[in-house]
Amino acid sequence: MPIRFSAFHKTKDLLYKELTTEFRTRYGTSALLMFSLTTLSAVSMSIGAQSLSPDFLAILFWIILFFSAMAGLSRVFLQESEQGTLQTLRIYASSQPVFFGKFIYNVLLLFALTLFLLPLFIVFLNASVPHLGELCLVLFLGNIGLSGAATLIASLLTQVQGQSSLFTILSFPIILPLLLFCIQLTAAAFSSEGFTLDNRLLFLTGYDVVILGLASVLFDYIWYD
Amino acid sequence: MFFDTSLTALTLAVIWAVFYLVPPAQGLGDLVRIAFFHIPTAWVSVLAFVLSAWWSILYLKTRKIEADALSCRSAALGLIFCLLATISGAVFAKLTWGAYWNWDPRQITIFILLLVYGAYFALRSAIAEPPVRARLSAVYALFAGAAMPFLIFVIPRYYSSLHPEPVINASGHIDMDPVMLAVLLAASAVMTLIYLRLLFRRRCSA
Repeated sequence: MPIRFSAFHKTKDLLYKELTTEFRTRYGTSALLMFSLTTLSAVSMSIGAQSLSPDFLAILFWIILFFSAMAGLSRVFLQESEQGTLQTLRIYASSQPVFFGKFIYNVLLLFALTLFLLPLFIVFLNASVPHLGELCLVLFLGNIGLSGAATLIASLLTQVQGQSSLFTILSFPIILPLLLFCIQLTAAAFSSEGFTLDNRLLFLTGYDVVILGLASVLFDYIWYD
Repeated sequence: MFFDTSLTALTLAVIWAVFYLVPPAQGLGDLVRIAFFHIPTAWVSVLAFVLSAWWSILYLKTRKIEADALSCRSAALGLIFCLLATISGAVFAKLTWGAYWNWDPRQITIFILLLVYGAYFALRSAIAEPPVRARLSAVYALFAGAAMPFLIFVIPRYYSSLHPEPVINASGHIDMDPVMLAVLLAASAVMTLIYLRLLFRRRCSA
């Protein structure tokens, strides 16, 4: 592969590299999807035939999505340190292309997870979605914030012992505001009442912007010793 | 030595003032005296966390290990004061609202603060090398700090709260008995001095 020097091209190449390695083994995607399927079936079976209120549906959906994401998103940096390719990556690219390449890959992974989970969730839990467009917007914004925070925390843990158990502990308090907003907005999208575009969507966007901006700045301090 | 003696005397004077000088509040009676412990501890924990973040920034800029030691110690003190504020708040809630814990917005916020700094110390304990530990924990503390404004300003808007209005409230004037206000300020000052005394103690094993 020819080496191209602009940051944009390097980001693109890194994303391409992530997708290629993932396509070779398909370990990340299959583990992520099976994890979410396991959680969903556990929830669905224990609930049985009861019908749930929109609030409960939203809570369950985000809990499944959050813990599935926690199970899968740390891999982007974990596999680099496991396979000893971190140094090569350091030589190849500066910090920002690495961060954004991994971040976009995580976003794509989460979108795939959401696309897989949402239809099954609707079928298994007998949910109705009167506001599908709004729900997609909330999921889009939520997934971006989730991936941004998870990518930074995962990179933080490359130099730490016992990484995978710390990942959820470190991510949870940072993602919690996002989670609370997403649950409220998703509940509104599941309920048959009118969905008004209110300030909460604005806050969600603001949260994404702050998290991404700060993660991009702080990543420099992790990437360069 | 002189500082310690005068701080002890000051603390005792404030405790005396809280129990003998402050009049019982309307509606709350003697329970209001908890507030003279609760508000200063909450204030000091915020101060400690802000200073800890400040020393984290300083460490990332200068890479001096002393800045990290101060940041860590301030975070530890912040965690202790935060726990004291949580417990005194929960006791106050039990006596006035009827339950120790009901996920009031304030309780959500303070609980997440405890989680953040619990995670911060879990991260620190997992890294052996001091420079790496200092760098990564500083990054984490600052990253978590970014989520704080959302917790403090946004969440209370969407959950109804039973927490009394802050002393400096939205309407901009202070509704408080002047004696109470003076004692509260004195208690906050004493608590801040106790924090500073603990922060700059000579020997530290953090």
